[in-house]
Amino acid sequence: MKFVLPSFLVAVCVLCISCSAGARITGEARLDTSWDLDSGELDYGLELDLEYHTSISDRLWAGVELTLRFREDTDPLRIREIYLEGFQAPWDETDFRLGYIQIPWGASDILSPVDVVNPIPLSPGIGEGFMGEKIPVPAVQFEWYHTFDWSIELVYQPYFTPNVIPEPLQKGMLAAELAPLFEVSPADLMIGLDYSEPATGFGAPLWGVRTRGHIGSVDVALSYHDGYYLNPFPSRVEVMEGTAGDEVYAEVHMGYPRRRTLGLEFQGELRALPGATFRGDVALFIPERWSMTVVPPDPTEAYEQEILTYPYWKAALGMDYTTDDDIYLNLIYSLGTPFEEGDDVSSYLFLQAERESSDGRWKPFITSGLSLADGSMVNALGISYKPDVDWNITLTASFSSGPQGSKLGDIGDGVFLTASYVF
Amino acid sequence: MKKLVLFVTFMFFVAGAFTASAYALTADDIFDEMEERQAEVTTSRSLGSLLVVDSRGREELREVIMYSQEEDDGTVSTIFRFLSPASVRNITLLSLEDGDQINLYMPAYRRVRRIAGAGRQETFAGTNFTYEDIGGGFEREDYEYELTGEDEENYIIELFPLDPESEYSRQVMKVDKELFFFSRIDFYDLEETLWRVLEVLEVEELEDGTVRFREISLSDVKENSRSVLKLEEIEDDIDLPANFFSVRTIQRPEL
Repeated sequence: MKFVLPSFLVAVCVLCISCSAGARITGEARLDTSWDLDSGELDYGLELDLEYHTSISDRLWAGVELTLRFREDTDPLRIREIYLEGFQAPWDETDFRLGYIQIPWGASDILSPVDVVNPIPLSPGIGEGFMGEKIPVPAVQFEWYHTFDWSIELVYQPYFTPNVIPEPLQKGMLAAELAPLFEVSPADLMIGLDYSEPATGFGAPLWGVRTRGHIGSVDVALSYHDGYYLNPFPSRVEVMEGTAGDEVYAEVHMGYPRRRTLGLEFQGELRALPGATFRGDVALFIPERWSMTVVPPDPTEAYEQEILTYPYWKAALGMDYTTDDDIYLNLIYSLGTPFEEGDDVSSYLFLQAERESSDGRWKPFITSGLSLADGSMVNALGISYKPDVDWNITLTASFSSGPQGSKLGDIGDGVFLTASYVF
Repeated sequence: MKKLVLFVTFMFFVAGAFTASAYALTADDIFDEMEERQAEVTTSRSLGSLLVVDSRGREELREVIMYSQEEDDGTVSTIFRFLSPASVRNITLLSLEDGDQINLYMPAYRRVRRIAGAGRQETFAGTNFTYEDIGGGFEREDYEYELTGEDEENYIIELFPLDPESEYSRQVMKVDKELFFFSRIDFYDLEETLWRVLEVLEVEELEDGTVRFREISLSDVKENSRSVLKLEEIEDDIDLPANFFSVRTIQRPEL
């Protein structure tokens, strides 16, 4: 997050100049409310997305996208993007973007395993916008269109940007993971955290290359990214005696293992199944060997536990189809989620179905997820309503099922209401 | 505008059986004359508006920009972008070679999505037009047609899709006798119920005697909704960069 403050200052300056110059700023105001049916807690937040972009020349543009938030436990301001972009610049065959940017890779509609550049923050549920938010990274994206059909894209990231996971949530996840090692309940495991980010810089960047084009009626892309895991892994756990009762205190050092990712994307029509459109992503992750050193109160009993050892696959293979009754169906097989790595990767099925009313105002939908590993499920039923062209209201009820500790059972039950206005 | 012209005058490319002979002109004669009257334009850029009227009569006006180009093989490539309102701004459709390839750029996600399969028949961004309508893709081999009558102002031709998967049982087209453009096409569903109506509301007769459409309306009779596309500024035979009609172009913030 090294560039947040300067980027913020630049962004504010650009917006102020834009306003004073009478430039047009567009955006979206959004009110989110959620009701946790398990705890009875009601939460709400207000977000204001602001976008401004301007042309510097007929080939160069600059833009700023900010989110102002009023929500507990979140940053009041987040930069979604601040960038300079060029089309047919600096050469006719090249485009570029640089700044604090989002680089979406992948063809599948959600959960793309090849979308490895930007961190994806945890979502409170699977309502509207599920998995849609991304954290921008400082980067240069350069694309060379060497033929009409094919291009090569280079991504250069001088600094590492980790995911933002609220500390209480991170501690809760670690407590559930580590408590069995010390034979205590998660509630009795007190955790202290510190993080070590990888040493990156202009001379030791993260980088990626991607080529895309089409073969016949199928759009395809191949990618390679040399970077780091965006969510932290424990590297050392030092256990100390608790101060009261059965409590155990653990000091957990977190790090970000290096990883290389090979990706394949495709979307298009297959003659074998007329009418359906396939969108799929397959990724091979090659992690650095990563282990966690556990140091009990008696240091002579320290031991290591392997966390990442071998390469592994993740995938999202989807098929969407619109029926004669205009019902849109999207079925996705997912091997792994953005929060599963290594041996934790497991299989899921996701189904999305929706149908817009004839006047385009109403759109009921259902989104379901099933863990093929343990049978746990999450189902979200909802309806979107557009009272006016610029307004949208979405009500979603989400229910999960499965035992505690299961893949999807812990998501819980909730009701989400979102109202947004685009201007 | 060539692509739109192609969509609404797809009969130019029809080469089905012709049986009627009780009229002064045959259907082929009419199609030939319509083809002669079609404005000869290689590239064009059009600014206009799209009025979307829903079943309750609520109206939404959108600004649009369109580019089209006739390729060397006679097919047409099109770029169609919404300029306003904010909810649809910069959503852009690319259709290559009469809709052989259709891609949709969604600026909110910075993603280009391939539109294929049954998705081609989905309506485009809340309008009455489907992706395939914008992209065209009608083939002459797909229809049989027959001149079935005439009135004071129009010839009446019926077209029968040969594709068993077609959503239509037939289409009834009226062709203006004076300027030889179609003034209306009625699309009937498989139950022989009138489903969609395409009407030309305004045409422009150019100096060379050719015509082009300025305003067309596509109505969904079943849903009681319609979309009216009006072209206000048209530039013909403009210079476009090589490979302008590409996935790369539709990702630009301005066209």
